[in-house]
Amino acid sequence: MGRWAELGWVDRQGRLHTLPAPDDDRPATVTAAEAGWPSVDEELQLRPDADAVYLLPDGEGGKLALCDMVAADGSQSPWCTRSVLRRAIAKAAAIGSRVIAAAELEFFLSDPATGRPVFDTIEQYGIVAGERYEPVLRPIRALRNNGVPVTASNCEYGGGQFEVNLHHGDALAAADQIILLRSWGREIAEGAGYGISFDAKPWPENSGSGMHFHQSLWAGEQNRFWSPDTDQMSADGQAYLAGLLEAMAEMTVLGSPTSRAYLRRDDHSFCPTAVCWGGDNRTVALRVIAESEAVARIEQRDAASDANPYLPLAAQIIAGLSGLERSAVPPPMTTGDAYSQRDLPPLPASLEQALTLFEQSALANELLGQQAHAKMVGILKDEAKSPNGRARTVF
Amino acid sequence: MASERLTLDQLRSAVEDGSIDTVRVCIADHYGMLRGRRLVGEVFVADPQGLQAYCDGALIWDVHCDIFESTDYSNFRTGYPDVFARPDLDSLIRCGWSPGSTLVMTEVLTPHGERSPLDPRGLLRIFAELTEVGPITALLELRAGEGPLAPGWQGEEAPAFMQRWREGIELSGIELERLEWDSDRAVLSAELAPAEPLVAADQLVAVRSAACEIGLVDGHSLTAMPLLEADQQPARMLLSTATQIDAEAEGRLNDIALLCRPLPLDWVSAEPLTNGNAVAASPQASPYLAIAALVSAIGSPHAASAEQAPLSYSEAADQFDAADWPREWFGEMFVHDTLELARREAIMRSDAAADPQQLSDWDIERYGEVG
Repeated sequence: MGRWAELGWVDRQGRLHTLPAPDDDRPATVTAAEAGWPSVDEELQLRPDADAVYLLPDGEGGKLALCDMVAADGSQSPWCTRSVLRRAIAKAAAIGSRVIAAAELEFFLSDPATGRPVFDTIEQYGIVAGERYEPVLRPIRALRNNGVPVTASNCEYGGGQFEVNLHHGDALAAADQIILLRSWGREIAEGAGYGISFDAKPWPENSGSGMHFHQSLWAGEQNRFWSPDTDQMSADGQAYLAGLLEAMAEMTVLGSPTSRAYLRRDDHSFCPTAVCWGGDNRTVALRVIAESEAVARIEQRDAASDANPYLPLAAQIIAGLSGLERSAVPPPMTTGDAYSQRDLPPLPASLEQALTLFEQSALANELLGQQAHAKMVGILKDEAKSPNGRARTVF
Repeated sequence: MASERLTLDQLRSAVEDGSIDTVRVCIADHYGMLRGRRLVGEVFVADPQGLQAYCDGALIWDVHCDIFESTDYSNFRTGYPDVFARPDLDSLIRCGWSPGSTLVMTEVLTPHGERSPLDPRGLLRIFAELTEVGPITALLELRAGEGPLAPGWQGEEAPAFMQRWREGIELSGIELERLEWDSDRAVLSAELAPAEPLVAADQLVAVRSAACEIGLVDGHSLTAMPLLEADQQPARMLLSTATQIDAEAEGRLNDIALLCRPLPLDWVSAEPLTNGNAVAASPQASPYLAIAALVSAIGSPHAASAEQAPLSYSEAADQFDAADWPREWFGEMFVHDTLELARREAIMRSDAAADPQQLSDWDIERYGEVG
């Protein structure tokens, strides 16, 4: 066994794939088609990231190295979604800033015999109800020992739904850890005899599952979202916020890439339906938490739990940075029930609407590159019109 | 008299040696049901006074976590902001019934760092400090539903369950006076050693949760519903003090009886609310609010409003509404929202159940999992 036992790579949809690490120096390869880009005839090399090494949860002591996918000549490949996020982070680094992020991830446990959630009643934060599922949740929390910094778990606001919280850290690691959590969480749940679903909306009558990203921008030890002079969000934070708002609709598809994800977007669902921001308000799309320098951050609440985390997080970072570059000014804060305020600009309500905006988006083109942008639009359009397409996600 | 609590140093050692990996950081909702997160042990001990943010709806939702708009405290108009739960390290215990787990109750704070006006535990803490009511002795009865603990069952599972419950409670450091299984009534009961009001409530919540968790994991059906058939002797949460409940205090308890019997089923076959120095609350009640009711009734200097005990759920709500002093003690918002919760519950049951004095399948489905 070399430095690591397995190499991990992530496809367009955000699924982790692994293969044994080669014994020699020859690079491992996959095809772009295998990576979720059909009809792209390219071979991609896996380049292990020495900063993304995790202890495998099989107890054997082997390690997994997550990889970037590069072109055969070693140059950047447009087909590597992890590299998309890496580039967005590099853009922040170019202005002396580090992106700190954390995710909350929701999912359902189900009974394989019935295909239904393990319970039907809402048991939000339920301690008693959660006890029965500790054979799943406890090992998931223990993934902390494998390098996935889970801090807590709780029952969520749907029958059979749970949430796992991860400690904040560098943005690339935060996204990597969602990939690992979904993959290893599935192994844990299925090993304990349960089904697990990260589907955006597994059952129409039940809640949907979201992937909320909390983010802040740091220059050294200074949180750029915090103004010590005013004890509130700084001008930089507000400009970043404005950038997020401007790009939210056109980038929606990256966080909600399936038709089912739009079933989440309903009034009073706690999934946002309008482009707006607020303070501590669960009805808005962007929640600004600005109580101190240590915690000042923005939470974007629209992505679904089955998204490829590299893509919405990358989109949010370049959108925020775009606002920062232009010293953009956000619209007034939304207070009260955002769902009842019909004058707010709406977020896309369907995959088709989201794709139309995404196809026209210059920012998306900048983020993904022209080739991958066009290809992704084509793939998602095909999936949107296919009756057997991504009605149900791969998660 | 007080239970043997787990100290922070002991917790740190246990996390370090791996014998504890989970800390439940809990609030109690309006019915005393434990809500919260299970934190990784090392995360908790790294910042034991760290705040956990929970949606404020948790303090005033109904028995099925349904939120509704007529409360003043928590609604879509305010956007369901967070409340912040600060661990009360004096309440730290092992969950003896759940190996590797501990439990800590919290003080619930607003974003401005003030006590949440709807936190039942916070209310009890204040009342216990304001008054000089001594230790509370508590007896909790829970009812066996379907399954091996139901009436007539004579096998070995009930003793096995009782043994697990006993061991779980004792490993938690909670001192028991007695633990019994009444096969004729199909009722389990736990009598706790006298404890100061806040400690007594913490223990009741833990003991009730322990039974329900063991039942859930082992497949036993247990419920805090006072009865499963209208002609049964109701199960109770009996709270007593060394202080006699005099006529004035009894009158005040009648004003706030809704806090001791917060759900419609608590009034289907109601025995008198007070008896000597004891209050017969419902097992479905929040121990914090039921003990707060007892403590405030004894300690309040106000004159009672009610001339007689309420005989029905609607009368209990009306008397709670009519009395002035509870607004002063519990706060206007707490009283308003508690009444909204109760009146909504009454309407729902009225719409669903033909005879208010009988139990229906709807009742079993709606109230069966309280606890």
